[in-house]
Amino acid sequence: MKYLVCFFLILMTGCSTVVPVKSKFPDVPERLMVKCPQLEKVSETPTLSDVAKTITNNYTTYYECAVKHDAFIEWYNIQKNIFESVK
Amino acid sequence: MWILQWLPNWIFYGVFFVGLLGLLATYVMKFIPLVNVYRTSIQAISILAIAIGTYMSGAISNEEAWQAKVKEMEAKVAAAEVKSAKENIKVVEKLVTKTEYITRRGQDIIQYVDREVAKYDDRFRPGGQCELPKEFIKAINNASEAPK
Repeated sequence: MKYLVCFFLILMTGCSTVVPVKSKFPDVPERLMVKCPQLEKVSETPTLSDVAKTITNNYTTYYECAVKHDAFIEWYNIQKNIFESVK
Repeated sequence: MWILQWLPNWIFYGVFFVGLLGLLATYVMKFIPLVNVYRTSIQAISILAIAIGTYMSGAISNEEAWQAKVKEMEAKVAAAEVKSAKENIKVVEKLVTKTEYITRRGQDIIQYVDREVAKYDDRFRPGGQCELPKEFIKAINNASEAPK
């Protein structure tokens, strides 16, 4: 009986598991993690050029934010494809 | 398998061959009295040794196959990390280029406003000929407010 116990104990050494290789999803570049700023407001008594400048600055801010958002989407899709290709 | 990590593989092949030799001995060397007396015990131990040797040979083969897969996977992960880093650089460079263009364009337009639109500032100043209505300013400011 004790021989049988030893035999089964040895057979049980096959039950250990292999540590899998893990691939980590990459971190987002810091440049893409910057929040979009608030838009500017026109002063109480603005001149026409003040209004035009404020509107221009706000459009600029919007497009700067939009390209950042687009870049994030592009980054995510590329990284997702790379991550999924490792299987 | 942990046992393979601290015992060399040849031990298990050795156990197998010792078992095989032991089993053969019980048939071939029957004429030796000691072998003949303990024949059944030697056979039992030999069969056990053959079983353990066979099992561990399979385990070694399986372990080697897994190790090969792990190495292949590690190589793939390393290649993916390099590719990922390269793509990161490309995306950030593209973003920087576009942002610089947008900022420069904004500055150009501001210069244009200072040069061409500012001429009409007097006409549109408060109390001027075409004063900008408060409602107009309010509409622009409301539109620029972030949603709460």
